[in-house]
Amino acid sequence: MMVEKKKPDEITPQELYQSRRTFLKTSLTITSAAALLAACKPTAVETIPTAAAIPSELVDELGSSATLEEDITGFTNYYEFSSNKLKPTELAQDFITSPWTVQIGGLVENPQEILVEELIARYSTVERVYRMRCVEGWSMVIPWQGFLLKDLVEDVKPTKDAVYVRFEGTFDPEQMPGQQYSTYPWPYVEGLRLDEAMHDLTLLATGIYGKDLTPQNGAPIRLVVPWKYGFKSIKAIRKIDFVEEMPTSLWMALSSREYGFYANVNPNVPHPRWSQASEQRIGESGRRDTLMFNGYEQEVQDLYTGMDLTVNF
Amino acid sequence: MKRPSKIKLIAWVASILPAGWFIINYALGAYNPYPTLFLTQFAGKTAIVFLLLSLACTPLRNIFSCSSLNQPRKVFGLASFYYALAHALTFLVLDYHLKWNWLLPEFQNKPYLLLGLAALLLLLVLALTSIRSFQKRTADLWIKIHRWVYPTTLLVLIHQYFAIKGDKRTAILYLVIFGILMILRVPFIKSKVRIKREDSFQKINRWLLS
Ligand code: HEM
Repeated sequence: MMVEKKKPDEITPQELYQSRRTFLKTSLTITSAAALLAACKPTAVETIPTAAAIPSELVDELGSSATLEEDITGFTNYYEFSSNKLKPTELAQDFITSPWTVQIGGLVENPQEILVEELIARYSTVERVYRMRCVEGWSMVIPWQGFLLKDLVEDVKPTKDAVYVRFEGTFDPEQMPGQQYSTYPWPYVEGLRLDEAMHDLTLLATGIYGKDLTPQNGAPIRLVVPWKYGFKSIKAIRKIDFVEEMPTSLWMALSSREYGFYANVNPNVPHPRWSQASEQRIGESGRRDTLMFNGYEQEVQDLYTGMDLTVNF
Repeated sequence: MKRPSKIKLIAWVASILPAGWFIINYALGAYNPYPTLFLTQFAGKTAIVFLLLSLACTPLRNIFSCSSLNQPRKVFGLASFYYALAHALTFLVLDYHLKWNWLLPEFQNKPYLLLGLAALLLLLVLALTSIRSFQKRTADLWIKIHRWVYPTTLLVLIHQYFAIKGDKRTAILYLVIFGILMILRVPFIKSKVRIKREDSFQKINRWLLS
């Protein structure tokens, strides 16, 4: 079995840091679970953590603790269900996420229609603690599991004409009450430039805190682009298309003056409504400074050399 | 002190109810994990509702010929000011901890915040000039000042329109209500919309005034 090298920002499954006392018991469970997984998903890569690799607390690389699980699952922006951030938790409870196929096409050599379970089995699972900065001026620290979007892109082989990736969320007004109104041009659409999609930080996430994604967090599969405002990280993805033209996202269609295509976290580009210079970290008292590219400047600034970020906001 | 009339008691209770509702829900944890956000929005919306209620009193009195309906004007107006103050203080103190290095740039690059600030200051003037002793000392200056309530309401409605994300339907509804309340004050229309004096209304009116 191949063992993936752990990066410092990668985390151990939830069961392992909950309590040191239960460590022995849970690690046995994890080991057998890993063995089981390895048996039925031969391509999945599982790391069996050793005692030394267990962090005493879940933190991001800047030292911030992960937001409480109940806050991550209890406070969400999911306009497909409601514009009230506390309501999706209840409204999405019975949302059906299995079976779920994702269609991958457009300018690619290997278009495919594939079950989420198969996608998850096909690519190495990674665990990352990322900051999530909402355009509305609040933020969280979220321990994700998922796989690198890059792995999928390499598999489907975009042709040389592909410049952008267009994501489309599910359209299901019967299950999603917010979609019963035409106030928003459903379905949700988002996009990335191909090089952004290929970046090592960009995930397709399928879990949080060692568990499957809850419906309100975007089950069964969602995008996570931690250096961009949260609305870029589209939930409940149905379609991924490789295209030549810059896709128009739902929020761009609604108000292009407020929501740009890039939507990189940038404290120097003000939004007409919310502060982009400071943010309320959920669970903390008082605000904190918002960091350029949400603190991922080192990793991503090369993507934007020579670009005027106030124009391409 | 004179016992307040029924209509005033009703108006006072109505003004306190939203605060009570919020406090109970807050105590139950219904706004966790970000109660500040909910308080800002709740207090702002309640302030607008009371401002419009205050403006609705006189037209309603005209329509129903019930003098009692004019009485809650002041109570609703003051309620609006208190909720607006709570709204602004939530933003300035609970959210920003009065950190001016963050707040000043926000006021500089967000015109809707300046509109809100202007509206709040105007409401403060209206609240102060509603004090009886001021009114007695200044003849009818206070009446002139209180005409500012119309532009103040307009400022607030514009503030709300730009503060709301995405779906602007409530903001538009309030603007329409404000427009109707203004039209109902035009003398020509005022005389047209009056409905016939009904004995039953007058009975209720007397009870409300008692
Ligand atoms: C210094 C004065 C003021 C400040 C700093 C201020 C600040 C704000 C902020 C930051 C928001 C956006 C809240 C959010 O959704 O995140 C907002 C919205 C709002 N404000 Fe104000 N405001 C002020 C005065 C007023 C006044 C005087 C009123 C009414 C009498 C008012 C009514 C509202 C309403 C109705 C909303 C929309 C709430 C919603 O529906 O979500 N504001 N204000």
